[in-house]
Amino acid sequence: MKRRLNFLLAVLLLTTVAIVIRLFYWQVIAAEQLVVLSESQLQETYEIPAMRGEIRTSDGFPLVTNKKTFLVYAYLPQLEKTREEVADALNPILASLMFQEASPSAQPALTSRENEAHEALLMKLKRQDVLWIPLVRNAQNWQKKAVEKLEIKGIGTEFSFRREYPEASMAASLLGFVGSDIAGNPKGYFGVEGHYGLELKGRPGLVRHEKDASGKPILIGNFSELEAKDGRNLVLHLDRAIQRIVEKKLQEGLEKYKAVRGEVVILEPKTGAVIAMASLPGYDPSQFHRYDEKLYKNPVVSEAYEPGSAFKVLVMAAALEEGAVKPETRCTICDGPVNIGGYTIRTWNDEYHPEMTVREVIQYSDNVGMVFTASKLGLAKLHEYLVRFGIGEKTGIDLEEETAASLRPKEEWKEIDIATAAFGQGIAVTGIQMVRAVAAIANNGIMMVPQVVQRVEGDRTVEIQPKIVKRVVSEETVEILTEMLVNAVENGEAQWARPKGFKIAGKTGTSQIPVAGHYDEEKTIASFIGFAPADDPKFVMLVKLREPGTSPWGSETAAPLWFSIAKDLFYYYGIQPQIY
Amino acid sequence: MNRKPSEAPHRRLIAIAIVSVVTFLAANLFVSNVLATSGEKLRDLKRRQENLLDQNSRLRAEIIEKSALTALEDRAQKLGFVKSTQTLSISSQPPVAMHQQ
Repeated sequence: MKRRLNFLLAVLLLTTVAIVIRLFYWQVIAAEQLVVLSESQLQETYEIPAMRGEIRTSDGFPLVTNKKTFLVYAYLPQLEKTREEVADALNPILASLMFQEASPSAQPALTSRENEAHEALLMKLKRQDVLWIPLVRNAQNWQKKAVEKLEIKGIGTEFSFRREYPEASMAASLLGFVGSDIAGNPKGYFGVEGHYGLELKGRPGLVRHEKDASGKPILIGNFSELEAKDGRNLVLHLDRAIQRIVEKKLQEGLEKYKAVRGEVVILEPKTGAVIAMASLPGYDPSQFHRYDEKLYKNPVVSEAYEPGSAFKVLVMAAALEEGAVKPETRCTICDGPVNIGGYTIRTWNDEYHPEMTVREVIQYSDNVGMVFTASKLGLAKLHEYLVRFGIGEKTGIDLEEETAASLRPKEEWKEIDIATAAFGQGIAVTGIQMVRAVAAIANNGIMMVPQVVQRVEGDRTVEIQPKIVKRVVSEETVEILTEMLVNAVENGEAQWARPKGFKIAGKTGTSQIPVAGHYDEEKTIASFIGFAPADDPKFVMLVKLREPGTSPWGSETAAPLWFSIAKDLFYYYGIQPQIY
Repeated sequence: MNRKPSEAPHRRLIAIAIVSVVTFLAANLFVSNVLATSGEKLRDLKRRQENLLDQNSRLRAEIIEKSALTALEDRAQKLGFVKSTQTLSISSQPPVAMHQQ
């Protein structure tokens, strides 16, 4: 009996020891592993997405906003059904999105859309190189619900957003677009979206809480939350109505003058605010992938060109400021073409006005007269003033893709370079550099930094103040030069197109396009730059047309387009005619 | 049969223990039920919040769409508005001298 009892005791002891050892294993050795496993069963973690900031015009209208969409994804290791079964089930719901999100070359023919969408779905589901793959990115709410109703293991949805453009492609080159980075996260490219990417993107939040077996949150369980921070909104100086006017007129101008491309930029001279900026042909930022990449960069800030006679404004400003010439100074070499360093410099129309005044040099846009002016100024001062006017350096405008053609050091300049620079050839500028320089003249000689964004709104609002760069020329020079430019508009080659009764200060520009080391005989860049009203400028505008087909001259293409836009601006601003 | 005097306190203790256990079990059941239904209420409230936010953003999108310049232009054209071709400027300050016929 005693032996049986001892045996039973031994068995009980051994069992107890075994249980303790097993418990030790689960609660000490494998504890971490079990906690992780339990967390995945008991804990629910989800990301609260951050909404990307809006981009609004000066009147608060959202030029770029967000639309809530859903991303449908497949987590391939979890798929229990066959790929074909999954594709069959999803195709009726997602087919329309499959070819909407495809590029034009991948878009199937109309008759076989459903089959092609099915094939595209199947291809994604059959991928071996990834575990997780997005099937469509812009599903609507009904599509999300329909997918969830299918309850296919391994197929899920998550919140996403798509950029929306209520004014379609308005100011596309200024705004840029939102694509994806390498990790598939939204990223701004070019323009405002690129430059202000950090302010716009925000920070996603995280919620972690315990859930019961049916997935409902347990109120007294562990709960932690990191709040999402939505991106900040940007308010631009851009005036929506003026932008619309500009784009409409520019499109009409491109068609009328049969130009290949065109740009218009308008600044407010006192603050440097960018009121409008248009470049055509443009692209639709919501479908940017369907357009040529060459259209993405804003040519106003990134494309250098030879400005032609419009550049005479800056050279004349320098000469007047230094006292090298006065408006009544007579040109002693203007009776015919002039020979410089083996090159012959002629006027644009081969007409010459002996002993004309410097004032008339601008009026007739006389190249020989400008060579005379530049020679009076001298290389050192000419170069110094080009630097002062910001030629060769970026303007600092808040757009991502700004570039600046470099200005050669004056030691590398030859005699012919001084001559050609005097009438805007052999020197490269961007549109924004030109308009900033002329805006300095309109602003009593003070140069401002061009600014697109006026305010950043978020948890706190930041006003971006206008920034003064420097004083470029004196007020006396501004007064004299403005009078010369008004005279050029009223009595120059573009006088036929000017709106009557308004004092406009401006200059035409026609430059040949350099091609493979020489200038093209026929192709030109026609431009007009000016400000109005001349005595209290409300706006400075540059109009530039590339390769106009009807006429190569700025006076016959860019200038009338400038005046046409200016007329609408006068009505818009309530500016009355000043000359009766 | 007479009970021993020492057995009465034991029985009382056992009765108290049984009542306590039953009470705690009932309380546990009640609290679990409340938590479960609260969890469901919370989920329901969150769903309603999402629906309202969705509705809000849909309405906002509609307002934005209707106040876009292209939409306004279309509507103005349909209503027969045209751009004025002539403008008469009336200045508050007439010129000093004017030739009158």
